[in-house]
Amino acid sequence: MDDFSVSVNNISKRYPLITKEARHNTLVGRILSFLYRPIKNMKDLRKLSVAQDKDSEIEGFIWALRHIELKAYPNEIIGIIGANGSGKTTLLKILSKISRPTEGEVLIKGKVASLLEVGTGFHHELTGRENIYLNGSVLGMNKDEIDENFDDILEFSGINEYIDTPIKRYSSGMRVRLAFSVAAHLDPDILIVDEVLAVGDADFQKKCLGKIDDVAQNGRTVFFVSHDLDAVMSICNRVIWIDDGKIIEDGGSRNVIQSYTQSLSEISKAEIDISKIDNRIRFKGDGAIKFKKLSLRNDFNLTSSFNVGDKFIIDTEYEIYKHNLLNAPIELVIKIKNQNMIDVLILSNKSVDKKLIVSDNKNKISCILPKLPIGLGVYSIDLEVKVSGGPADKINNVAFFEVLKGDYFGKGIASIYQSNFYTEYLWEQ
Amino acid sequence: MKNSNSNIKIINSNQSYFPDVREILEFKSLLYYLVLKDIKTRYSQSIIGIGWAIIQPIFFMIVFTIIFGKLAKIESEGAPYALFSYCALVPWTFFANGLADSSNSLINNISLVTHTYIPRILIPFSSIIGKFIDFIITFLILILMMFWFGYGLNFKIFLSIFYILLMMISSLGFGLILGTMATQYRDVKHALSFGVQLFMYATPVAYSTNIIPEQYRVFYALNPMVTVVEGFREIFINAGVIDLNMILVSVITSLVILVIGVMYFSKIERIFADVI
Repeated sequence: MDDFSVSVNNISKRYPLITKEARHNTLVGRILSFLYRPIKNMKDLRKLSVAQDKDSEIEGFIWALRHIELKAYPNEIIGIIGANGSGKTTLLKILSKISRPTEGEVLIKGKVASLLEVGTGFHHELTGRENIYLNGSVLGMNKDEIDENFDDILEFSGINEYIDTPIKRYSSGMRVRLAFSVAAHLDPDILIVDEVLAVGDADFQKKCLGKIDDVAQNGRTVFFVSHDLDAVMSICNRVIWIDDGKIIEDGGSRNVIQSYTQSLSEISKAEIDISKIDNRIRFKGDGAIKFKKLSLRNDFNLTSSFNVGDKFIIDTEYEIYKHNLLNAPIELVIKIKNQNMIDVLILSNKSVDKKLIVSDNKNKISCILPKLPIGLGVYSIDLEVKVSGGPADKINNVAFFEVLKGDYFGKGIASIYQSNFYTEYLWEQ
Repeated sequence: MKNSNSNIKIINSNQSYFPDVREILEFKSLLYYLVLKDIKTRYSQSIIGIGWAIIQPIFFMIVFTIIFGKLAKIESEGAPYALFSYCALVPWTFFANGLADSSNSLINNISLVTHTYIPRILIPFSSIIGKFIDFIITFLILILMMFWFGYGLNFKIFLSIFYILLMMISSLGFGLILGTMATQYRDVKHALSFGVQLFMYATPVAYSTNIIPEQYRVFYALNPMVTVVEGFREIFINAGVIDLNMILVSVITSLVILVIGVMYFSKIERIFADVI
């Protein structure tokens, strides 16, 4: 028999997409839609459960995971990487039995412990000591097992004198330490850790990574999700890259992380034909309007390479698919993310109260930043458009651009200091 | 490390109408800590603390005694009206609060549902047990009041175990059904607070079953709390209106509701994290 510890056999998971109906412009239309509201609510809520029934056809859903196959073995520390919303957490939730796959099955040998969020199963009013017992039993330990490990847990967490204080008085760092200490000592066959370590201080993180390593040495399997690629590289011997619910690459850490970062930092062309990008990373909105083209330019020409302080213009072009929506209000959201997939700048016409509408002859919308305020690096752009409040189209990582040193303050030379962010400021004396 | 074949857990989308008892037993120490959490959080940072458990039935008793006992002069089967209503309020308060708490327990513990895996049936179950602690306190007050009004205890008190079980089964059964619905439809939560109040008037808390014509009492007993309340009155103040048919009807209804509750809960449990 195959000695895997986890075997994922062709699983898929779908979630319904709840769309907001377009607002009616007539009084009668509004009254009717108000009266119809409970029925729509009922339908939307029902969708939540119907989506999990694989034989039922529903309108408007996304596959959070699609045809995932993998086998994990003892002694493996498997890193899972990918952009936000790519399906990492959904996969972990299925492995921990929190949610079930819509299709396919997972075979698991042994006890699973998962840390998907800091201190789940913790309760603020209980003391640290009581929480160790509560959390331990949430993770499937019985009282004797916790008693046996209690001193080790306490020692590892390093919160000694606060053990009888209610944890609502703890800092978030202390909570993570306590939570991780419990999980690490409970001797699971499979340990699942999702991003939780980001909160602890550097020393404790190092200690945790060491502990994860020990756990795997003892014949366990560890799944480790993190945006911190350095941490993934240092402890994982295998990495799986997931995007849009599919496994893009599965293999040795170095190779997979390399192709992942390459995919992120490839600076794209200044002009992008979005209709060609198609469905790989396109979320299905209601498709009322769809993006057709995006281009980036500075004051003079099309480019995907900018200097700090340059004029930065994003031009978008869309196509209308539902013509009854002419003149409906549009919200356009442009997210600029850095390489750690953190939103650095979110541009929305709603934030500045600028009215935009669906228009036949003006199907181009531009966003203009007089001076690019973000620092050196490679950035990606997410595009999203809502018509009458309902999502119409959304594409992540549609373009990548780089920012080079520049003359933000207009002094004729590049700024002396490089920071992540630039702004105008005054000095007084 | 080697695992035997029987140790393989399968996670798929198959439905099951029955709880995995073996798994629940693996988590048995969790039940204790969930109950502890329930009680501690309910009464922490409160001046009166667990005293709140008795305030609700006592105040209802005072209001009922003034309005129904003194003003409306409702018949109380020869017992003092205060004792007559308190005797019903003890099991009723447990039922109402246990029902409300267990129905809301999954929503209130949303992070336990969406971020960890535990046999979820322990969550409503623990809130029922948590409320039982309150029940014991109100129950002791009942005994004190009996002595005050000159009633004595006799061997019949042991019969109350039967009614207490019936009360817990009913509360849990309804709680499981409503709690399961509430995960997907929050309307349950809103309907519950006044629904429970309405339900009180369908239960002989403020009045006696005597006002119900005899031939209808069997149907009246479809509400299991009718039998529980009248059973309590029979045992403690000798003022109950109850017969064997009513008991049978109530026992059967409450068991049917419990079974439906457990099956419905188990069927929907697999998608709790997706719909909650």
